[in-house]
Amino acid sequence: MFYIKQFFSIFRDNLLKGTFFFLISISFVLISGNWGLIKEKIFELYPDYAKGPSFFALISSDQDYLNIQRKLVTLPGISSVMILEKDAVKEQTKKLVDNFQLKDEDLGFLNFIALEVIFDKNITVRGQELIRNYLIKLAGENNVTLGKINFPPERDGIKSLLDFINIGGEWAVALIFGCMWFFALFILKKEVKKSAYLIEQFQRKNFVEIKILISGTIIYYLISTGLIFLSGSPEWISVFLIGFFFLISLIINGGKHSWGK
Amino acid sequence: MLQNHLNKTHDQTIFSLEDVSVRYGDIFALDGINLNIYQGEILFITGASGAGKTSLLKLLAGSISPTKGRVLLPNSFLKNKKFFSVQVFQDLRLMDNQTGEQNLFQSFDRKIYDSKSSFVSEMKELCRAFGIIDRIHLKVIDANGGLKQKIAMVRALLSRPDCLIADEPTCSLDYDNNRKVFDILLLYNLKKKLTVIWSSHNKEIVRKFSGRIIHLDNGKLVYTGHACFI
Repeated sequence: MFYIKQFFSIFRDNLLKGTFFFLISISFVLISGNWGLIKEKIFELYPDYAKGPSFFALISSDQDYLNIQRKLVTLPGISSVMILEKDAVKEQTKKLVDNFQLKDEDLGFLNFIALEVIFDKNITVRGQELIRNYLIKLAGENNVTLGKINFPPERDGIKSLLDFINIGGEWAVALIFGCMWFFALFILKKEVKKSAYLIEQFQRKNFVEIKILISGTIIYYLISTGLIFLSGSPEWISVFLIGFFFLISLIINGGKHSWGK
Repeated sequence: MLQNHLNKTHDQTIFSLEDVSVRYGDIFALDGINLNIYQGEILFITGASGAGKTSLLKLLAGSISPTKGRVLLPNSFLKNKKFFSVQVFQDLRLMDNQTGEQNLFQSFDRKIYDSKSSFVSEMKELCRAFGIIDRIHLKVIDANGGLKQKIAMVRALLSRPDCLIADEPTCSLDYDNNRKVFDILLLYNLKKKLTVIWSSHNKEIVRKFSGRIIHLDNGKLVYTGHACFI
């Protein structure tokens, strides 16, 4: 309790440095402990990112299109197969052919089902061809019309950023926040050292600096762990690793005290 | 003979320096010092500026290590007792943005005081003795040099040390105030067996007080004896 009191007394006397250390400590644990959720939210903003090349297929409605969809989905290289709303497709097509002043009975050819087949992101051209051929084989050559392959729009800047977030996001966050936390600790430590020095000089206590810093950091760690727990999707391994990182950093930093002049 | 008699009254060695030298680059701050300091002793270290007084005090406080020789600190002699030394430095090391009273509370150790009230009553008693009771609410930054030095002394004594190591802490005080400080220290020495190691460049002041004097010149110990023999 003595050391917690000391920590918050230093916080009170150095509000700016104390607040910076508080914010960085809490953010570090919160962001790393919830990284999966944060990543998911980021990718929700860019739904096209996860989408690979795709094509549309028109299949005669007398075919068992549900069975075709089921079989396609199980293939490697397929991300998803969606059945488009029959009426919506019909309406769109009708709009297009209206200009030709055709009667309803002339639109008998609109009696089909539309599928959108979406490939995995990294599928090869050969893989795409095999899947298309398989679809033709499943539905019968005369019962299916395949559209051309559409590629998702390229957004170089954002795409490479999203790639980076996807592959090394956790490490980048850990590195950035780790450095910021070290910096926050460094600027607060000077004040802690001064208090610790005086306490060790005039009271029969040892290792005061490290005890003060560990007490304060544990409080912040517990607050952020509690918040992560409330968020519902904690990544406890990350939270545990950060706790370990805090402890080791504080032990390494807790050297000999000086008056700090 | 008198010197031997004086030493006999303090037979427990607490510090021992054996052929100790401290060198900063090519300069010898201390050169071949042999010295024993006894429990309950009052020892004055005199010498001109740069004679090596501060280096000697730092060695005794354990802040620096000797370049040559051996320094034995109290824990080498007193195996079963925890010996507590407190230092008062030339720069006093007070928290400027705090009041004198807040600085004094840095010595409030629950291990040695039963309650906060017992600490406060001892603090008030000492402040009264030092004549600063009406000024301890001032912020240190607003206090004059003499008040700061007295606050530093009271803070040191409030920690109930076994040994006080002081590096010219009363240089801003006049003779009467110095006398007052030494009277209090003498009282602590007699009642609580406080060991006092005090450095000063002013021989005229220390010779008026009871205790052993060692005199340093260019890092060498050139004189050791009782103050009254100077």
